[in-house]
Amino acid sequence: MKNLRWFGVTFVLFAVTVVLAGWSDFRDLTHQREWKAISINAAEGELDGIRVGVREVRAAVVDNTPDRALLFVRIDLQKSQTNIKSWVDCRASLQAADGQTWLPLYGYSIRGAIRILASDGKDNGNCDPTDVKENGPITFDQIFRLPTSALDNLTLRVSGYGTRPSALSFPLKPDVRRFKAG
Amino acid sequence: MNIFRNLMTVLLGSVALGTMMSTIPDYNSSFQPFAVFAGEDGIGHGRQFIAELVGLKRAAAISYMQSGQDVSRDTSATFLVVDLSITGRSESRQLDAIWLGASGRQYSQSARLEDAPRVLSSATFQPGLTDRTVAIFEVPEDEIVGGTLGLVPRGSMVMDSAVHFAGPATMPEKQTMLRLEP
Repeated sequence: MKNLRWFGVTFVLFAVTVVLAGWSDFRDLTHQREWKAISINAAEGELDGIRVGVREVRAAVVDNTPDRALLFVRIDLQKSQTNIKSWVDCRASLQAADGQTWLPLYGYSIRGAIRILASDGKDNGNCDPTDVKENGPITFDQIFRLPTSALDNLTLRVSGYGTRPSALSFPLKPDVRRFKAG
Repeated sequence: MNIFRNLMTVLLGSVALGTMMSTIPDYNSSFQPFAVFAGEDGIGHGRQFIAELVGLKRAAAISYMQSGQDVSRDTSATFLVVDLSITGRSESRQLDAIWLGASGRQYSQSARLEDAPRVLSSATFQPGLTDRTVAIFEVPEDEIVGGTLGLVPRGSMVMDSAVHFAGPATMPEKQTMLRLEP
């Protein structure tokens, strides 16, 4: 009986050690993953004090590489509360139904494609919550490269470091434009 | 006698604890990627990408076009150019490559050729898309035969996989000038 009591104490101390050691790693992991996707069936949604709107979604397919497409997404962000939880960063990604995830392209050379696909021919830069204000939305442009077959069933996820594991999830129906190779 | 037995218990416990603490593996060695070896068909299946070794070339100098200018690079060693075909699986990823020479030395990709077309260090691989890329190393001639190519996801490699390809059995033919095309 005495040995069993020592065994119980050892087990409890072991469990406490595991929880204490693993808690910070678990918190880090939750800030990387988007486990709680909040489906938004409208052009706008709000998460932790920032309202996110999807304004333009256009895809481009060039006829000599018909299996792949560029997808341009224009979003805007506006602060809706003064006391917001810090987003810190802004992650916009595309998700397919089977879990495949496409992240934006950040190369300087690809920015020209944004100017071709945007309705106003402008490139507003990558999503960044730093300068988001209450008095008006700030627009950002992201571009992705993905298989053309994935265009039919896509969702856009938008989240910040402080919101994750929660993320807004918008279904996308891109307007597809076809280009002839030059 | 009882005191002596208690002292021995404490002493043995301290030695056991000290041994465990001094032999605990560090973070990097605990979480280094799992090694996956490519099959005889030259195709390796990593967790986040599938890679095919298309060919190896050896060159004394490399040339390519960059921003309308003809660029040429030579080396006091040998350029080893590894031609690869890579398909993304679950998430957009950048990859790093290392050449493990026949002597056991480890070579990173040549930083002098980062602006060359299709180089691995500036490529991002998207789920569902297959892209051709090259990894370029500067190595002594005797490091090629018997060497190994390692491909790993860039950034976090925790619980991820590294794909290894066996190097050539015979020395690839050396070109005086290898032209890299976009």
